[in-house]
Amino acid sequence: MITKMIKYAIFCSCIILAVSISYANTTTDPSLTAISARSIGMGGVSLMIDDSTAVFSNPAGIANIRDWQVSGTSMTLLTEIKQNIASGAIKTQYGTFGFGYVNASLGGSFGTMRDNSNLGRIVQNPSVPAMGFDDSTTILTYARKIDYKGDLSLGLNLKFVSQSISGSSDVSSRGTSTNIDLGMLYTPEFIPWLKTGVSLQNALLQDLRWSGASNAQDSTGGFLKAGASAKIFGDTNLVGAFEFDIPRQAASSSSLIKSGLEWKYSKELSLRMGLEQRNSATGLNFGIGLEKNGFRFDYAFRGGAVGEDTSHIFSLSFAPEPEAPKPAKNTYFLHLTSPSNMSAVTGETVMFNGKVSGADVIKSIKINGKYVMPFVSKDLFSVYYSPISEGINVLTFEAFVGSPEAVSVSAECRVLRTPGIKDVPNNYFAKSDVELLNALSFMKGYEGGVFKPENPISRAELVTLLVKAKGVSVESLPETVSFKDMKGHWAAKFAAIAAKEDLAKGYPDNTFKPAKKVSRAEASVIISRFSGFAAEKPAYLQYIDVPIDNWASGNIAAVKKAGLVNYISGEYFVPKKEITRGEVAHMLVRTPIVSSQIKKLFSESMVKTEPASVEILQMIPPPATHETTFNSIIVEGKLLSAEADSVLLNSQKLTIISPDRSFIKALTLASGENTVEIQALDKKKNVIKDLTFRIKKP
Amino acid sequence: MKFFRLSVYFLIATCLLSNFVLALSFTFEATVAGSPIINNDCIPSSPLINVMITTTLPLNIPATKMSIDNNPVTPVVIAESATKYSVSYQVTSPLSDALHSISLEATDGTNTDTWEATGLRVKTAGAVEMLAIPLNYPNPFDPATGTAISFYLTRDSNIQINIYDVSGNLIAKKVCASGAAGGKAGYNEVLWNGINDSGNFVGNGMYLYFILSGSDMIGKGKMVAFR
Repeated sequence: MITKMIKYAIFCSCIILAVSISYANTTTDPSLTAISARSIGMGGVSLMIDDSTAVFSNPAGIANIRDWQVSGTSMTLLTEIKQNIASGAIKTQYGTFGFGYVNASLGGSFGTMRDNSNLGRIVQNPSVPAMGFDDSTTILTYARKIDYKGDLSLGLNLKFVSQSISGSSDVSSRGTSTNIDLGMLYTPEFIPWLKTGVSLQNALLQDLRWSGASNAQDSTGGFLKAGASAKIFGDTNLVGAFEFDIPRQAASSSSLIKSGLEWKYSKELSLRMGLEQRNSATGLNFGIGLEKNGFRFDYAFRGGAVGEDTSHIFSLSFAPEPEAPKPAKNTYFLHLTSPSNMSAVTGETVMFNGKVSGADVIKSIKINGKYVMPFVSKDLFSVYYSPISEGINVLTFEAFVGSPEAVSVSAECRVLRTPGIKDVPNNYFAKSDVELLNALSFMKGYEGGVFKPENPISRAELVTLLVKAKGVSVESLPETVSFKDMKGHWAAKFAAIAAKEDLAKGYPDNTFKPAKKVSRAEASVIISRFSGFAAEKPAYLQYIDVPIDNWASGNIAAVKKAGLVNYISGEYFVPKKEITRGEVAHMLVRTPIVSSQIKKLFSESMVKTEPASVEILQMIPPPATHETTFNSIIVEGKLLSAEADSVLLNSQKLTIISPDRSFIKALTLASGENTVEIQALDKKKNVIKDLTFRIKKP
Repeated sequence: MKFFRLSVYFLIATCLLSNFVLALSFTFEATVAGSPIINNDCIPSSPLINVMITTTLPLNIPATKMSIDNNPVTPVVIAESATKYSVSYQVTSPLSDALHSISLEATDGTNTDTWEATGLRVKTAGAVEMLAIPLNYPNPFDPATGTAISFYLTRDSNIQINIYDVSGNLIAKKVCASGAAGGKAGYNEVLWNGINDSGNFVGNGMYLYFILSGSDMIGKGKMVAFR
């Protein structure tokens, strides 16, 4: 398709060139060479321009503007000719519409005569008024993007050329003509870094017709332009372009080559250079563009063979910047990962980890309205908070995210502070689960305050645990011995209830085997039944070592789906492995019966009022030494006492924000040890509070 | 007799009257370096001065006295015809950069006439300059008939005339060698035929021309094509 189009374009061009050979008088259409400072800086390449000034060189270019744009250029050519250019374009649902206006004027040409008293030499004729000339073109443009493989834009100009000669009545006249330009830009689908373009200026080659003192007809000529631009080395900030201009009945017969580069150094600064071939000279052009808040100022230097042909060109454009999408509150979600909501913690100071989904940057965090110092990396945070009181603590986390406007998102986290269990370390995966079940008296420890989390659990222990969790009172039940090996056993009643409730059936030989260690598969079956999960055979393999026809596959699939075994990563369930007490605690906490009891526990908490602070600073720093992989820490706090006047962070003064006298500063953490020193000063610059902590980053 | 007497008287009166009317006079046409000059022109430093004397009556070679800056020089006088004489002098010692005068006196012993040109500028030092603004004639001009661009140079120089349209495009060029027409000290005229580099006549409008010596622009003008 493209090959056909190119062949067609070449064919049309040949026809037009062939029929354009004539010896008509040739005048100038200023729009043929009206280009902006940006184009001149790029060696005069204007065919590939995609702003409103494209109306002059390739109307298809305006199809790429985002919303609307206006531009103006003023220059003085050859120290005498004033040229002014204005253009604009606006994108609508029907395509992009544009306009362009260019005017060039020259005056002060005197009438002359021969002085016969002085050898017939040429002298000025004082009786003839000075003559002036004005040449302008008005353009109306339409461009549209076309659905095609790749990015295709087509454009059309309707042009009105008007010239006038002023002076005596013998010369005062006006000439007008109408013409059209056609243009195309195309980026192939599989070569997104390349853009090609072609433009036929003054396609109709209509003559300019004079009226008034003259009734002459002049040809305005035109150009066939072809060119391309490419993102160099895939770098979208560096673009190279070239253009080939073939004149058609133009004032000059020379074909011209132009080439240039534009480097967008930053959002605000662009640098340009190019080699421009003109019929008067070939030389290097340079340009610079400055952009801010939608305004763009372009300057270009164009050298000439003659000093007077050197030009300084200035352009000013405006295009509204796209509005930054306002972040919607409901696109952010604050999620506390550890400890999670309704979990157990130990100690007065607890580190909370969390994430704000949808956020690019976390600006600050408050907990219960207090300024804290979170470690942050993009949407993740880690923050210490104290004091955590004994019992239930209700913490409201408020995170401020987003840029440039910050949006707050909050979440509540309830934690139970427990005294801790000796043999359950802080980093044990089921620490919170064990602490909660201990607090609920569902799963107590052993004498000596140990829990033995890695010990296996027997069938008797498990069914007792589950029956108690169900809240069944066994004391009032009559002694019932269902199994022949449970007579006199301490768990006989629990085993009987478990069998009756279908939690754990006995063996075919009517035994219960109370001391038998429970495997993962068995635990999954029992706990699945305890939870009331349907035990349908799964449609596909859940674990490599649990075939679909395995006796426990349905229950295993059920507990997996309910999130009870999310501590098992990988593809192996190891169904015959003896389940540990810690694993059972983890599963039980997540069953509907136990989790609702946990919820009830947390909902019945009393909200504790914190005593009034007599501190100088409100700040909750991390411990004196801390290791983290986060990129930065937000140092945040508030001056409390009237005595405190200012705050220094690593000897740098922080801005105190009214009215709550808070301060905030994001500190980037370097690899190695980072020392953070915060000092509160009084009005006399005396240090009244000093706090230092060290953060190690690998 | 009376008639004869009247005839003689008439004849004598006629002769006397003829002598009065046909008293010898001289007309001078002076050129310097081949170009006609007038007062205040620029001339080269070692020009060939030629004054063509035309007499109203046939004459043997008139006696001439030529002076440059009031210093007598010895010209070469050649009779072109009975009434036309060429008086030439080649300046061999270059004239200084200053204003000079040339005078010529011709006499037949009875009638004497003089010609003088003053304020002749010689300027060899420094870059070539243009005296007064360039003008073209006719202005406005019909491209079909062309126009002559005139300018004064302080000395001989290689000259290029660039012609631009109102969009700043260079549309035509004229090149003149030093010492030839268009590159001579003094008054020059260069004809432009109104045709641009594409081989087409220019259309109605104003055109800017730069007169260049090397890459230096020494003068510029504006001309209007109109038909």
